[in-house]
Amino acid sequence: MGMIYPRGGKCLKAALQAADDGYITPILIGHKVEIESTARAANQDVIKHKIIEAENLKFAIVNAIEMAKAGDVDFLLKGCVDTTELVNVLIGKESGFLSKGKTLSHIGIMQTPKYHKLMFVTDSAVNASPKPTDTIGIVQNASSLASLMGIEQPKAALLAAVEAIYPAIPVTMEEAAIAKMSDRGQIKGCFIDGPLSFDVAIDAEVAHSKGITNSKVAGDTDIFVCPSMETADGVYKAMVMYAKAEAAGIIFGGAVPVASTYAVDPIAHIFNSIVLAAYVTLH
Amino acid sequence: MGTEIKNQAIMSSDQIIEQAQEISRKGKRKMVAVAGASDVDVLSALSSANADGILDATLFGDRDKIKKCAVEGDVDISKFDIVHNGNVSAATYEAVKMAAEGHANVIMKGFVSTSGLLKTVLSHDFNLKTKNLVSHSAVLDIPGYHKLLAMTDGGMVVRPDLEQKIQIMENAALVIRALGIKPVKVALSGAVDFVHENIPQTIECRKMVERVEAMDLDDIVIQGPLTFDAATSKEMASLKGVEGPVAGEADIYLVNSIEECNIIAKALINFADTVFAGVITGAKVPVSLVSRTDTMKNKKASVSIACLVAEYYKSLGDMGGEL
Repeated sequence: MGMIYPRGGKCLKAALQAADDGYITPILIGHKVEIESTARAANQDVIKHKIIEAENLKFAIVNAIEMAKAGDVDFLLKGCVDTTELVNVLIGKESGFLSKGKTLSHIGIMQTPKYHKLMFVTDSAVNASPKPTDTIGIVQNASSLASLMGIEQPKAALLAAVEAIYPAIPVTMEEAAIAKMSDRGQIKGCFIDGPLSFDVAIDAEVAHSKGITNSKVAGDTDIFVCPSMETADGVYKAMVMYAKAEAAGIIFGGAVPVASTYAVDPIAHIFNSIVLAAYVTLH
Repeated sequence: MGTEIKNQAIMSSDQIIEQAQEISRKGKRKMVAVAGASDVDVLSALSSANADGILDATLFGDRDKIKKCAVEGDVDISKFDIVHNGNVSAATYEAVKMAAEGHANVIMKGFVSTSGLLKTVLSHDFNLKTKNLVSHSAVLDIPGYHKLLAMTDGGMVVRPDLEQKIQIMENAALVIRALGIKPVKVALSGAVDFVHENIPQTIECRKMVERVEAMDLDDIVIQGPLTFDAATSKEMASLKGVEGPVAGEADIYLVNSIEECNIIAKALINFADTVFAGVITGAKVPVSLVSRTDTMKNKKASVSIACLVAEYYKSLGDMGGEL
C-alpha cells in the first residue's frame, strides 16, 4: 500500500495498525523529516517501513501514481491531506491515473443502526456536478465495488427530491433516462431506479404509500447516488456525525483504488478503508 | 420586538412547541386558515395542536368530506369552524382571503396542490406578496447539534441563482429571527470549505458572500463555502483549518438545489432522530404544510413554528416595520 503524504497522526496510526495486523505492507510517500516528526508526535514507529522521499504533496501524489501504474503498490491511501488537491491530480490527463472513458468517483460505505444493509453513498469527492455520462460511471463504480464485496446485482437509487418526473426539474429527467437505460439492459450488473426520494429509497412502506409499487430498488437500496457532490458530502457527514454511522471511503475507477476518508472520520474509519481497499485489490 | 415573549433564543423543537403555547397563553393565540381541509393528516395535526393550546383553526372546504375525514381518522374537530365550499379553488381563495383580511395569521395547505395554493397567496387579489419569492425552510432539531438548523430551500426553487439565493436567505432569516436568534449565521453549502477556481459552485459562494456583505445587514453573518461538518461543528472546522464566525455555529444552511436540501434533511430525519419543523416564508403570512410521512411531533412542530413566525410578523408590524 502506498500512503500519500502521511501528514496527520490519525492516518498514520490507522496505516501502521493495518500493517501490524498483517493486512498490508505500507510504503510512506512524503517528506521524510515531516513523516518522522508526525510519527513521533503520534507515538508511532516508522523505522521499519519504507519511505519514498517527496518534498511536497504534489510530488508525493505524482510519485504515488507512478508507483501505482508500475505495479509497485496495489492501492493507495490518502494521508490526512486535502482531498481536492489529490483528486485534481488524479483526474488530470497528465497523470494517466484514469483511463479514457472511465469515471473516477468516491464511494462511502456506511453502516447505520437504523438501516438493514450497508449503504454505498456516492460521489462526495470527485464529480462536482455530474452529467449523465458521469452519473452512469458513478453507478458502475459503486456497483463494481458492491459486487466485489459479494453483493450480487446491487440496487442503485438515483436520488432526487421527488419520485415524479418533471421536465422543469432537470435532475428528474436525467435520472429517469438513466433508469430507462437500465431497464433496457444498457447498463449491466445492477438494478437502477430513479428519480427516488431518500425516504422512498430506504423504506418500502413509504414507497408503497407514494405509489412506487413495482420498483426493484425502492425500500431496499444499496447504492445511494446523489445528484451533486455537495449532496453526497452532506449525507456522508450527516451520517458520520449524527447517525452514528460506521464508514469506509474509497476512490474507485482509477488505476488502483484509493482509500480516502474525511477529517470527520475517526481512526476506525480510516482502518476500515485500508482493509476494504486491500480486500478489493485481492479480488 | 415582542420582548415580553421572546426573551430567549429557541434551541429545540420542544421549545418551538412550548413557545407557541406560551404565545397562546398570553392571549395571542393564532388562527390558522386551512385551504382544502379534507385531509386527515392536517386535521389530526391541528386537532392535536389545538388540544395542546397552540392554535385555533378555520376549515375551508367541502363540509361533508371534512367531516368524513375526521371520522375516518378519529379526529376531534368540534373546536373548529367549517366554512363550506365544495369547490377546491374557491375554498382556497376564501382561506387566503381570511388571512389577507387579518382574520387568520397562518395559511395551511390541506388537500390542495402546493403550487395552486401559493399562486392564490401571491395573486394580485391579495396584498400578501413581498419583494421576495416564497421558499421553504426545514428547521432541523438534530440530536448532537447544539442549536436548530434551518436548511433551505428544499421545496420551492429547483436550482436557485444568486438573486434567488439571497431572497431564500432573507426568508429563512425571518424564521431564525422569529426564534429569537440574533445575529443570524448563514452557511453557504459546499462540498469543500475553500474557494477553488475549478469548482464553479465555490466561486458562486464567494460572489454571494461579497453581495451579502455589501448589503450591510447588521444582523446577518455569512460564510461559505462550508461543508456540512464544518458548518455544524467547530471541532471539525478547526481540524480542517476553517475559521470564521459561522463555522460550527450555522443557523441557516443554504444549499444549492432542492435535491440537496431534501436528501440531506431526510437522511437526518430517518437515521439521526432529527425532528423537523417546516414553514414557507416570503409572503406576508406564513404558509404551513405537513406531509403524510411526517411524525406527529414533526407536524406539531411545523404548525407551531408557523405560529411563531406569525407572531414575529405581528411584532414587526406593531413596530411599523415591513417584511
